[in-house]
Amino acid sequence: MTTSGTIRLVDPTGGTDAPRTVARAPRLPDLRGKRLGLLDNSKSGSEAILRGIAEILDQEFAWADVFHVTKHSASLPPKPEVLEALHRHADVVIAGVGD
Amino acid sequence: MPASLDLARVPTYISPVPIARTGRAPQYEVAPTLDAIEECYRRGWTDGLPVVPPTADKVAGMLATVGLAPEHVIGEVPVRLRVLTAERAAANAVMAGCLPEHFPVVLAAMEAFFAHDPNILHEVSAATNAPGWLILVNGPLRQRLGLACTDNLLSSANRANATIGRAVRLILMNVLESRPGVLDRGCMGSLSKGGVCFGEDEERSPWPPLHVTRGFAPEASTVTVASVQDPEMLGNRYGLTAESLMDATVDAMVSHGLAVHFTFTETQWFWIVGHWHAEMLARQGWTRPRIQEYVWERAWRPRAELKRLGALRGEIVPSDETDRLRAAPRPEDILIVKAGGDSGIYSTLFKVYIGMPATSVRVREGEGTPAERGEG
Repeated sequence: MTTSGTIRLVDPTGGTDAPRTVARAPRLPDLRGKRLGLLDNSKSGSEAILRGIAEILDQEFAWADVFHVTKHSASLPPKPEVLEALHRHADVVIAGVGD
Repeated sequence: MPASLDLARVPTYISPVPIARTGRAPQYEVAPTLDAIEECYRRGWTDGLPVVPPTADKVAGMLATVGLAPEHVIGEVPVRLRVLTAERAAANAVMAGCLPEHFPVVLAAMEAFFAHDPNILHEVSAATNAPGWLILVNGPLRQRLGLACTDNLLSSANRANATIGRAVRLILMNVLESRPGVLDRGCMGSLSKGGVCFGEDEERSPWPPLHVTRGFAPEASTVTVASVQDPEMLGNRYGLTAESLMDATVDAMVSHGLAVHFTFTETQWFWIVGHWHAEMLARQGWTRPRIQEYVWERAWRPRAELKRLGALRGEIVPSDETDRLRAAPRPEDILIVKAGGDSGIYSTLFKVYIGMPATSVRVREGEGTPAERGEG
């Protein structure tokens, strides 16, 4: 108890009150003829969903190439070599959850 | 391309998860006691039940017990951009209702997660199938803390059991943002998510304590932590042979395994063997390794069955009828713990959810870090 009749609480949280602003990566002005990367989250339906999306979008954007790579775990971040491969082989990437 | 889609536009993204806070925790002056509890609710710090307001003096008392500085980093979760400091762990332990002597167990449980993989705290607390966590305590600390190891040990009734598990829950919610609808994406949720903490009934066990089988000295106090699904009670009350009991456990295992199909190499089980079940197994000469071997050998299902029941994807091919999928990759992945009361003839089975396999660490009581002990 403090002298003012109040008690002092220690904040148990791990985040600030400020909203977190995240800068997005620059977007390409045009997707036509670009190399598409598919980041597979390793769930059993992921590849089917991603390849289906790639095929639908191919009708509009005529991908130069489709590069597919799989994460080692659905819930953990990609390993550095996976990100490096995406940087090397793709201009744009589609990621998502497929179960 | 739709006309409204401007690909060159790069809007900023406002995340619902705030940035990480490091260093000392802020403090707030509020009106005493009941108002302070309501203030904790207002700030979103609780798990739904009232908490003990984390006053500066209570938090300091917690820290003094373990000899850690407030800013001491227990661990970081990179994927969550979060840091767990001793002070924040202590504040959550106070809120959970822990006494200072419970705090080393809370820290040891967190250390076990970090020792396995810091990002696993994200996986186990975000997963849609909503596992909880089992915190098994072994060694002399169980008695000093009055931790329930026998009657009703899995029920909410005993302070040490209830508050240690709850402290981990509150740390995950408050420090790591594992809140429903934010970074906890649990679909149905689970009762175990509140934290299941109990001790092994070492004194009345016919077998060596679990921590001894995992390489610790009998006099060491340890915690063994694993992510688990809600348990299932095993009620073989009339079987007169060890085989009857073990077959019943196998039966539960191959059925319970459907909740998450058992094709993962890291699947484990905690068979919490109740008093009279343990007594019968031991009386008929069954050691822990022999029990593990017997159960492991029989706990399997054909792949075809799991496909028919929708636990696995895909068309059934002829080889699926004979392809055996085991409930555990190795006999030792069926962890056997003796605990529970002697009022009835029951056991309990936990399935370890893929994520955090059983990980054991020694509880450090009042030791601080090497630097804080003056050991550089």
